Amino acid sequence: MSAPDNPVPVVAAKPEVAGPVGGSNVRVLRRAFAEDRLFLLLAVVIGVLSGLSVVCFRIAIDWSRLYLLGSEVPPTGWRLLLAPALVGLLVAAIVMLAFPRVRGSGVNQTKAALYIYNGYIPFRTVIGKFICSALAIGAGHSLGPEDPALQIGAGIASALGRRLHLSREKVRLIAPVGAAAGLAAAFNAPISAVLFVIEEVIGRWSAGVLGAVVLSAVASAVVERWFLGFAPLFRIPAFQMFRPGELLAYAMLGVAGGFASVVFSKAIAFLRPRLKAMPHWTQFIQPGVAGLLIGFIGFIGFPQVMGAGYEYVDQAMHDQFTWQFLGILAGLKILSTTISFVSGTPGGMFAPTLFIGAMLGAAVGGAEHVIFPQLNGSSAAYALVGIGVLFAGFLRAPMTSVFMVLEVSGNYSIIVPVIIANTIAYLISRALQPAPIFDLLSRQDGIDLPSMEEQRELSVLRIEDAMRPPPTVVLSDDLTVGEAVKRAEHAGDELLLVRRSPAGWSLVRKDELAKMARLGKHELSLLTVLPPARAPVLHPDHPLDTALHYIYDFPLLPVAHRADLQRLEGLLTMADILHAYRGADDEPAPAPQMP
Amino acid sequence: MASDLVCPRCREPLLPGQPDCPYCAGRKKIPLLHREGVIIAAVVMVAVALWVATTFVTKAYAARQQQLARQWFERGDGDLRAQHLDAAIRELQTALAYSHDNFQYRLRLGEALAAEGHTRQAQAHLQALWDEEPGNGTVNLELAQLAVRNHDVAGALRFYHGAVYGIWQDNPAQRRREARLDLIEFLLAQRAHQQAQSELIALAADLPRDPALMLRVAGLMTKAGDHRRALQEYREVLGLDPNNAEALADAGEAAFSLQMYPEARDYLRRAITEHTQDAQAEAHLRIAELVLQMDPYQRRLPASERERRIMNAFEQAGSRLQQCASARVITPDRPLGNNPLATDYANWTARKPRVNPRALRRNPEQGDAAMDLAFRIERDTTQVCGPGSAADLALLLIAQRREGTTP
Repeated sequence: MSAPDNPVPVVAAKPEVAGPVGGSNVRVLRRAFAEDRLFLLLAVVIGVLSGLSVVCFRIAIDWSRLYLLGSEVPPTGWRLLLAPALVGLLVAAIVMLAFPRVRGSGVNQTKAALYIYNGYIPFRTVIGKFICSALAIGAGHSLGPEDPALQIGAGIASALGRRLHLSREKVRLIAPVGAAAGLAAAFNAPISAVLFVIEEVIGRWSAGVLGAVVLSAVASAVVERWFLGFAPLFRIPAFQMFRPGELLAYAMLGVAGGFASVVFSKAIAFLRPRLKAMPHWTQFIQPGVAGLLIGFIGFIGFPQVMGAGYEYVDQAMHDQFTWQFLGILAGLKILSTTISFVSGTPGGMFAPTLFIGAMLGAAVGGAEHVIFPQLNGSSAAYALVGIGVLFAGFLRAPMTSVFMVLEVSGNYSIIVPVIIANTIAYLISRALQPAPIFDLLSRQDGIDLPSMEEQRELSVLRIEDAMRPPPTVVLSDDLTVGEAVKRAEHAGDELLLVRRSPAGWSLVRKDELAKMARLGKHELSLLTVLPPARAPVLHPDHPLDTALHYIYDFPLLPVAHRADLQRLEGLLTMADILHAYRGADDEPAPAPQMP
Repeated sequence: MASDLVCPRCREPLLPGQPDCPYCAGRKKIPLLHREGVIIAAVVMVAVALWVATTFVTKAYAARQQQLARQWFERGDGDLRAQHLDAAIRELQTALAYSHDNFQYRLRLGEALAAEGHTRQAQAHLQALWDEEPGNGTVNLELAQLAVRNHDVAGALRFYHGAVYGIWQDNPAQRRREARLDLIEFLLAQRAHQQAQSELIALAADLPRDPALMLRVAGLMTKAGDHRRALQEYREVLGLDPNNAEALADAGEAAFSLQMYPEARDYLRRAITEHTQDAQAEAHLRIAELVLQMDPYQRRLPASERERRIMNAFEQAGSRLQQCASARVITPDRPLGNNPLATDYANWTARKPRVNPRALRRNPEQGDAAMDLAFRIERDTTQVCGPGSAADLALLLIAQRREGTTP
């Protein structure tokens, strides 16, 4: 994603930026700088507001859980059956009648705001998401608060950006800034939030955006910690350094996590469109039915799968379950989250992903301990790696997955198993489920949002893919016009390159040389007769797009060696560029012509 | 998805299906908010208001959480005391859900899990607590007990020492002493008597003057084979409580083990007077008295008495040999290969004429030789025919004392 370095600015290729700075331009620049400063200040304000909102949101979820499921953990009794079903019906009615945009993924809605709606997220959606998600998660629907928190942050940011009449570019970018703030507060992990938004929503690194995203995420996390304390999501017990041989065990966890991710993705991909295709009135009861099913799972002895389930992740890390029970919990969580999500109940999939990963990790770790008692990795280590594995395999955010585990655990020693397991899970998931879950959801909704994973994988054409070999005749500026004319006679092309001293290249046409000769300038050197303007110099590793900025003004572009600008590596013409983009390599591009 | 229509006012694209421009909508309704400064001020005011509201909400929620945590903990604690372990575990887990980091709750949950037999879960909880407070005496003691359950000797020793030298909130001296007593019992169970003796010495050094406790420590010293210190401890108990029957009996046993038979006899007699139904004390008293009556090596014994005791011992050994030999069908006429009893019988028969008062008076070494033979016969017959009568046992003890061997 890194931006290419600029070509050597031998010639000011864009006259509009080289001109004198006039009064109107000063105003434009001042305004731009003012807006940049305002944007950064706004990022902090967004972070604070998002943090406050997310704190209230998390408390709202806990209050609703207390009132709907009782204070016992895990909940017991008939409430398990009734609360999710009845609240599912209520939430469905609220969503269908008052907040229709609340359904679906907050990540995709933020991306849609960035790429389609000029940063617009209705504030009404924020309110709807807050109320409906708090009720649904509190009642035990198997969903998490992070995705709604992300959207709440994005919605607040969007509203602020619009009110302040920022430029369209800034308003577009402000939603992801808010999204990072919301996610940072929900996870209490600002680095992961920044990475996720960069990796999954914005898709590129740029200093301006990064600064704002970081500021908002940090501000939000600070606010969250101010109110809810510095405790991380889970209490991580101290664990010993793993032995190198244990990496194989973690690799096995990567394999298991990869397949679990695929099952999870495919279940959602299969069921969601089918449920959406059902008659409209069924959408009023789908969350209720989903709630009933989840309540039943809880009622028969697995209430741990209800709600976000962080307290059970904590218990799994402290060896409170047998590996068999952990395996069952992982499987049932996939089922219950799929049911909740495809029914259109508002809520996110981050927390369930962490839950499934932790349970699966601890289960695999436990099973491996039974088979290979010599392995000494703790359940906490396996659960943590499991979290990263599912994050990489299901959400397909490999960078975030690694940093998230580090940030949550605060233990750097776990990085090697995390990288190994995550990579394996990511590769398995990519091989068996080509479209990442967020892209899949947006396509099912009929929106073609840019896929960050596809962008990452896109192969970039470079100058070296298009350039032609250097010409046989190259002039230098110490030649006289007469000598140049003689040499030009042997050249096949109409345009000739002149090597300028001490550095750089110029273009000259054959007929220009002939004209100078006719005017009696035989004895004059090219240095004196040629204009000082020089052609931009490209290098073989530059992206091919770079050439497009110059090719109109310079029909023939020299491609020079990076270590020796006088050394010609090749030439580039418009025909070569088009030829490369078409991918036709069977016939050579035609010779350059004068404009 | 983007619309081709643009807002005629601000030139921003209109959203599909929405005739009003979202950017201009706000302007129409609140013209004052055009000014960015006013908007920023409004935002700051909203943030302050939201901050105040969030403070109120979080405080109310935190108070509710603490209240719930306390309620569930009290229930769990009560159930744990009542040994309703399953309910206690559930309730303590719930308490922890509202107060994650509460050390006391976590400790009680660990104790409940350990009591219920969920060793692995208890260990995980307690280990996490230990990571936070490695010097906590309670945590160390719980972990030590779990290690004992897991047959983890090294772990048990480590955690027991952690408990002994750890920090205790209430009554630290007593808790440390109890931890050390647990450790000593663990060491005795592991047959690590040397280590147990070391711990007992350390324990006895600052033992309060409590007869029950001193008796327990002295009993452990006896189990560890340190009879001398045990006897000293019993003497101290008897100094505090002279008629303590248990102390008298145990002191008698300790003295008996140390071959201090006069002292053993005195203690055992007093013990039986205080507590007549102690069969072992009675048996040992009888043996002690026999030893004292039969031992020809006692100091300041008149020569005639010494000779009488030698002859009695010799006769006792002969009679024991004959009983044992007849039980095993061995006679001098029918020796059974190289059976030691046959040799003993031959030796005893050969020596018998020389064991009389006159011969013994004339040559005192004859007495020693007769006693040596009697001791050998007692040992051999015990080996072949099992323990003999109290007199035979007394002879064996005299032999041991004579030869300087421990009983």
